[in-house]
Amino acid sequence: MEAPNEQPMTPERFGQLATDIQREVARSIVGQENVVRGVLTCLIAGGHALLEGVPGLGKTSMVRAFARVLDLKYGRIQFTPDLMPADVTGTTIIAEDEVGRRLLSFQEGPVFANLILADEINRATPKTQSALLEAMQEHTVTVGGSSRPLPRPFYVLATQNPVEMEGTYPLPEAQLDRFFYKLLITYPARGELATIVRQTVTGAEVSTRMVANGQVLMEMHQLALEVPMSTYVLDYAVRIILATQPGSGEATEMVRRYVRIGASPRGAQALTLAGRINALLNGRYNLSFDDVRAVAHDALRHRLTLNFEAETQGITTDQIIDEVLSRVLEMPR
Amino acid sequence: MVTLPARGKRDLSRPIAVRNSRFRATPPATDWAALLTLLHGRALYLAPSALPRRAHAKDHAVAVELHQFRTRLHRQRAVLTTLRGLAAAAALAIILLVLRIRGTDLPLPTLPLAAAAGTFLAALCTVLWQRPSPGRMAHALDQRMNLREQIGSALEIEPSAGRMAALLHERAQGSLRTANLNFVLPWPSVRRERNALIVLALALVPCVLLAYHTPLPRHATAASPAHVARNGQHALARRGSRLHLAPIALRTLHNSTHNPVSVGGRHAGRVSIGSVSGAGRQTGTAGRSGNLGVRVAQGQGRIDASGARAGTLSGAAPASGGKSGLGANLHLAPGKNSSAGGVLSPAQQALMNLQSVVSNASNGQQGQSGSSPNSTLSSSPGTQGLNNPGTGSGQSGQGRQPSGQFGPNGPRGRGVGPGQRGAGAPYPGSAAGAPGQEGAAGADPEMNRFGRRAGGGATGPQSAPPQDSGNPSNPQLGTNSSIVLNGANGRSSRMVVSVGTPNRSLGQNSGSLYGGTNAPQVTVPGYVAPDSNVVTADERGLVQGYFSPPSGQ
Repeated sequence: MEAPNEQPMTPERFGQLATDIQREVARSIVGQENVVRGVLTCLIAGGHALLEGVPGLGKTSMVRAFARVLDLKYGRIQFTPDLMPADVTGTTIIAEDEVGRRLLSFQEGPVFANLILADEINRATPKTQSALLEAMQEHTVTVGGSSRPLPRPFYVLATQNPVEMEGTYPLPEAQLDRFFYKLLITYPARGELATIVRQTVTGAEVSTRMVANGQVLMEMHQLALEVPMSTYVLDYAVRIILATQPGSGEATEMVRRYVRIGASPRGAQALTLAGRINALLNGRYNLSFDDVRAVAHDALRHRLTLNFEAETQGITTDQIIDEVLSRVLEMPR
Repeated sequence: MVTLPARGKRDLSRPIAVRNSRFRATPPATDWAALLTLLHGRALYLAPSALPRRAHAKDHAVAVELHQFRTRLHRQRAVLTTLRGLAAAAALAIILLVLRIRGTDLPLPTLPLAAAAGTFLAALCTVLWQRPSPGRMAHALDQRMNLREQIGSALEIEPSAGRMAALLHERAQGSLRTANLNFVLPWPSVRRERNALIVLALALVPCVLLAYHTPLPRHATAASPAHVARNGQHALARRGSRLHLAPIALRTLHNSTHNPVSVGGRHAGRVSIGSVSGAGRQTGTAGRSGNLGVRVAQGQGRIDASGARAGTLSGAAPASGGKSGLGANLHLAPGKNSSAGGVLSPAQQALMNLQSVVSNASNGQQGQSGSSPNSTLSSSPGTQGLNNPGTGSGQSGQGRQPSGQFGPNGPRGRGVGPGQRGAGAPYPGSAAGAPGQEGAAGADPEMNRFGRRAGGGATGPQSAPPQDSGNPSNPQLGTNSSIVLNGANGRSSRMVVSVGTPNRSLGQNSGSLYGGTNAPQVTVPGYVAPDSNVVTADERGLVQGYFSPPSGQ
């Protein structure tokens, strides 16, 4: 295990840690390199990730693997329609102390952990979903008039099933916007599937070792914030965000036609921060156009709300982002 | 086992449109600077930079490292721009020279040379102006070395901004130091520049040859190339003579001691006026006639207002001749573009004009000749007006009434006929000039093919008719008359028919005045003599037939 604060965080160490983390997670999760990289980017950025995929693709396993590799306190919340907010945040109960006096004490919910797996988050009611809003944004929980801070670092990795939409409650835009990334988990390839079967049916338990911890993650986060970002690359990211907003002059044709709500400033923050982390992961010290483009889909796809016409025509947000990236020039004329 | 993506490897999982988006940074079509790629090539083009020009300090480490790249690129641009500028200049010069050979009237004799020099100088100025900026150079190096905005970011961010900024600077300087100049900024190959070299080689030699042998426009139009070659005159000598033409013409005017009017001489037509006035001065008051003299006498600027140079001349001529009463001057106003291209050669055209003049004069149809080239003859009404006062009225009524408003009876009077005016005017010169004015004023707005608007029909009805129609007699030209062709008066070549021995100013070859005292002169529009006092038998016969009195009179 890497002892935190033993060495100063350098780009080289950053890269090495990232590689180690991905390698350890990959011992449990076969394939899905982009998703693993995306989740790691989220964790380094201090953000939350929304994992979307059909059942059985290893979403829960991936989250648990990260918790083990990063030595994070893991909490799981299985969202169901009858789940109440108190089931997430915790509640105040009457308890007796040693002398038999009855006292009101706060019973922490599963949200009080470093890494929360909000499994099938879209199955809970909006009221319960909203219970996570404060935790995700403020890293605090307010119950009974008192706010309680959540442990740092705090990450929410939520999953949702895109096919079983009956009895679900799509996440509101406000909550979607709080996710740093939305990652799409796809089916494994042929070779990967064979490896998965080989690893799981033999009964051999895959052991993963702890590579880092929460403190290291925060150091990595701090280093990512120091990555230089030139004004023209920042301008490029900003123009991309503006291009997703149908009311702006930078909006592209598809955006005007199919997008109801564009990306927010939080999207621009995610775009640049994720881009800088991507630069560090690639061994570079500056944000580049390619970094912005590389993270644009994951950072923006859940921040665009399409209109009815787009839904009827089967237009996806990824197509919109592709069009935006192809239209926005690196250097404005 | 999972294969992790290699560092620095591009993410191939993205759509092609995204992966290739780097190449969208190609110069947009509307970028004016991109047009300069025509001069120094696309390989040396630097995409616009979003960096401000002073985004860094002068002693910025990255900027210092960039200096060698900028210098090299600047040199490359200079070489290529010079080469392509030379090719463009040569191509332009040869095009202009060919145009000149084909008879296109170039405003300046040295235009091909000036255009070529200007093009080349513009290319050189472009080189100086197009010194690559550090920002553009940084972006270009980022793209060519696949550094992902490393140099550009390092150029913009101070190393003191943080440890990552310092690391970025260190890496950027290392990249610049280890960069292979020949790889990053290779010298353009000769093969790539073969087009420019071919153009240069193909254009330079003919350009020099053409510049050396190209005849002047008037020569080119007046005579066939064979004729020009036969003359054996050196092109430079011709150019020199041509350059002297205008001053000679102007001196001619000034040498006319009785003509205090300084005619502009902007066009050759005014030179002819000077000649006319020179003739007219023999008549006393007509010495002030001529172009401006008429204006003064009549208080009408309409002569010039006629616009056409020929018309101006036409108005002038009668003024001078009218007073003289000699009727000696029969001016066929030379059109500016008389030597311009046509189906017929200029000589043939001139001859045709002359034939038309004679024919119309004999038939008394000058009034209808407004649209025909021979109507220019009618632009000399003054002379004939005096000689044949009554003949012109009939023609004036042929739809040329508007011109009558400038009639001799008053500036706004309605002219009834040139002849009457000539006769009745208190100042004959003025009266004679009036028809010319009328002609000018009533000129057909459509210029004829020779650009002689005034001579074209304006004056036709009013002025020409009188004399010409009744001019079976112009007895001044007898058998002993000499016909002198003076075709070297620049663009307004003319044929001058002189009575008696023509006076010729020494040293003023073709641009000199002709005509002795009281010498009648005929200026044939569009006639470009082959630089010699040569007249063909046909022309001589026509002129003599015209001036010779018919047997009945």
